[in-house]
Amino acid sequence: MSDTRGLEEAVADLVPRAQRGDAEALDALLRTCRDTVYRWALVQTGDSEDAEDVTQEVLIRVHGSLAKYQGRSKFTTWLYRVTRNEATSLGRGVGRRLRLAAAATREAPAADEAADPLDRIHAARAAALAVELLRGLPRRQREVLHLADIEGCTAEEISARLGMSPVTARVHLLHARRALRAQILSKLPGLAEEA
Amino acid sequence: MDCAIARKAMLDADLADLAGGGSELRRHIESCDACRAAASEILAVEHGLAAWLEAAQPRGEVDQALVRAAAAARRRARVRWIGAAGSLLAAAAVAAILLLPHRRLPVNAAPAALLEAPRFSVAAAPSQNLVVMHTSNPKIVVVWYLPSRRGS
Repeated sequence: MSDTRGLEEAVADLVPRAQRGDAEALDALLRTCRDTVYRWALVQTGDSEDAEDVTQEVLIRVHGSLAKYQGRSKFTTWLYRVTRNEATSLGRGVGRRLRLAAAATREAPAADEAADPLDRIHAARAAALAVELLRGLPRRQREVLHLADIEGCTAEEISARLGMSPVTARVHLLHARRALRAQILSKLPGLAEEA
Repeated sequence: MDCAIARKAMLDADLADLAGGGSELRRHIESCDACRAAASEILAVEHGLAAWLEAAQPRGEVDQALVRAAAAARRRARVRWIGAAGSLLAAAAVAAILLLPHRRLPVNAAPAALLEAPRFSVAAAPSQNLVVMHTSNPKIVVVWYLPSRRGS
């Protein structure tokens, strides 16, 4: 189940209770949202430290202004927008620079310990490559690729979150896939020679 | 479909078409070792990306910030509550003073004649700016002299 759908179901009961002033519901809501917001922020900023900063700001913002959410859109759509706004604000910070290249290998995921050693090496290499390539994409393409290919959102859902038409979302997705996959294929020795 | 066309199609294809299904691309992938390797690599990288994100979690600082935010919100709510309660108490005190029955303040008794409305009459020509006010008490007459303004 994608982050979005799982979260929407998990908070369906918590949001109205938190809006009525139930402190326990608000606390549970924020804890439920935390990891998803972090992952969104990670895709948007491309850096784990920036993503943590964004996550903190988003949770504080939700804590203080949940009343402003009026239910006209899905809660996850509203939350995604809040996260995007915070990531954008952070990106505008004076003197801030992306620490992408150095972080690419540092933050590569550990491979499944139960898998065959060769498979583990391959999986770890593929994951490190994926992170590096994702960070090389423009932010909009990273977001669309993540929402479409990992979260499984439709073009309409993506357009609602990112404030663009579904056609534009599809175009961004095509560009993102082409850029990412061309890089992947260029790194395969046999294929690179053929291409 | 030849390999060149298949490679181009792989760049745009949905993950489902790379992984299986009955599309023309998939049929070529299943029949061509090199293209199968290419498709597998794309799938491995994109699955690796999903696994990386799935495993990504913020550190504890986020929770600490959350605790601080909650404490700050409670403080703000407390200050608002105290302010509201203070305003309510002040309003209640004013209302009590105004609404509670109280003794009338003594009024100095004035002669009835003075309390009656005076009768006015002009006893001199207007140019002299003199007004004589007769009251109902014949012993009391008020003479009001208005100094004339120069040039008027």
